[in-house]
Amino acid sequence: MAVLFADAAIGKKRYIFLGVLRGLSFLLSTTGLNMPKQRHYIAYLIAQSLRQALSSEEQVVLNAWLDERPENRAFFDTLEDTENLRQKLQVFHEVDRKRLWEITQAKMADRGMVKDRPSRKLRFWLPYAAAVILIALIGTWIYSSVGDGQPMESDRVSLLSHADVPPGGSRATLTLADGRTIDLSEAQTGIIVGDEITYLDGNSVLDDQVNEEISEHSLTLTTPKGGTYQVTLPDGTKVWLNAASTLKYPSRFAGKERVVELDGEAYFDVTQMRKTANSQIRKSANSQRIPFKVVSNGQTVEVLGTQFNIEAYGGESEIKTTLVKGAVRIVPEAASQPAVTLSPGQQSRLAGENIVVNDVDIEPYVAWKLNMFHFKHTPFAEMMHQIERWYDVDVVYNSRIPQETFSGRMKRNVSLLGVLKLLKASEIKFRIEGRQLIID
Amino acid sequence: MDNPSNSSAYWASEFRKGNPKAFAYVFELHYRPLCYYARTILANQAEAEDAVSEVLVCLWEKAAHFDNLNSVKGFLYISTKNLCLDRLKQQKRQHTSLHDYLYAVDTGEGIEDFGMLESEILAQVYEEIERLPAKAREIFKLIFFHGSKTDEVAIKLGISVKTVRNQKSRAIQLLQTALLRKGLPAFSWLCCLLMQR
Repeated sequence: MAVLFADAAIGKKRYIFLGVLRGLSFLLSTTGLNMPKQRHYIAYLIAQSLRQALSSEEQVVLNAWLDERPENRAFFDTLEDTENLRQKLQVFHEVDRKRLWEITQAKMADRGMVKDRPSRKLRFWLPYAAAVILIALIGTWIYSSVGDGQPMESDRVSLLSHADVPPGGSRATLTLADGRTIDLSEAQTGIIVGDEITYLDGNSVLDDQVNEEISEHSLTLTTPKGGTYQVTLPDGTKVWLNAASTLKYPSRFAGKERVVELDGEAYFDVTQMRKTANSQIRKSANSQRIPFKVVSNGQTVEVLGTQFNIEAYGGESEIKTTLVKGAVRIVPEAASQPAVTLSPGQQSRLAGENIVVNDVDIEPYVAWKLNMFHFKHTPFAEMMHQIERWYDVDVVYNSRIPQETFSGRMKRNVSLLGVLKLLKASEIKFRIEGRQLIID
Repeated sequence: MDNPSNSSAYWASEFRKGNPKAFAYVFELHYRPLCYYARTILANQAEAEDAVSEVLVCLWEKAAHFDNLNSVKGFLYISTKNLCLDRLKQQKRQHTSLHDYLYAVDTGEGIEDFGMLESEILAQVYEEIERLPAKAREIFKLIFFHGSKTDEVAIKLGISVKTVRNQKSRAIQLLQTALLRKGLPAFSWLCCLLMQR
């Protein structure tokens, strides 16, 4: 149900309120409260009035406030309209607590404000670990006890014979300008490109000799299927690379613009950068911003300091750019198409030469950055594309592609079977054979 | 020490020390009205939530500077207002239609911010709903917020078939008797709202 908070009439009425208040002298003298407390008190009085629990003294104070200004009375009247009040309560009720908590935690983590507490985490996971071991033991026992007997129904056998695929993890390779390739540590989650290339904990990625060679060269960070990695670029911009993606960027940003190339999916948190004279930091108002550009197959995204997600896999028909914060301009490669500007909460989809902009719930599109799957009325085939990339499997359809859509949210650090539990509620039958997920 | 977890002085001091539990406590107290308030200024829910999360992070960064929970609340509202207005101004260059949302917010000293006032009123009313006994609250929310039909409510709550027919009036009755038992007769207005569904 779409409930618009402020319907036009109320909006306009209140807009007139931008007048000058002559002061709430009566109330101030009655209650002796400062402004925020007074607002709280009036809120209390109005709430009391709505539930018909106002004392006669309180009624006097409220009436005085209502008579103070016609706007106060008008405001009060909108709340006395029960359907109007119900709609407002509905909006109030629909605030997504969990999502807000997650966004807030993610921001804190980004800014290094959340300390890991290994001991607590361990304690939390212990019962689960015990359960897993128990299940593993029982599983082994069942498997060995049926091993000699008749072959079981095929999908049960596949369940017990470990026909499962582990989740992806922290995996990527870094390709230097001279073509050398470095497998990045799976124990680390990201690298920082500065005067030298280091992991997030400060350890060097390369030995010093190589570092000298790579200055001012093009670097390529590639994640395989089932891999994800984070990179901090020389200007401080952070990029999270999703599975099966490639980001090409210079080891140093010089010149009028900062240009990187993306094939696949990445989340960008772009830092503002201004032109400096003689490499001295200058913050004068007329110093020019240096634009950041992301070039993908078919479009260029121009940025001035913002957070957004681009999904531009070569094999897929659409490029989706989802803006979380700030502003970006999408410039399609095809000259016939106009550039579009996105505001937060908007998504552009470029299919062939057509570009469409919609308001979206951004959460499902950036959930991967929190290492989560988030499906929201997601078509089956689209969901399978994500599965293919994260578990490095190929999905094979034995008959037609199911037309159902799926909604759900879960951590990505579970095995393939864990995710496929989503399918259990549907009629869709599947089996895993090696690196193939077969949909019957 | 009597029940420290209920004392706001206890939470205020834990908050200053940077105890994550105190942050969670403050979050629970204010997230709903803050998001609602942000929503009165900004165009959509996602933006409003993003702004509020930004303010919450900012609050936590400054945790050591707050004497009491009232100043925390004041900070949260004022920062939310300022941040939302900043963002609105940025967007206004692109979307003039958002203009309608800018009401009574560009205020100086002493001018009532009706969006803020409304958020506080709704917070108080919502708190009353949350205070209902569990069963009555469940029925209330299903009908009131989720628009569930009476038979759906019956199935969901496992109420016997016999009661399905008069489910709605039963729900209201339950709500009323539960309220009376709790000595809160004034809640009949909630029932009135419910009966209109």
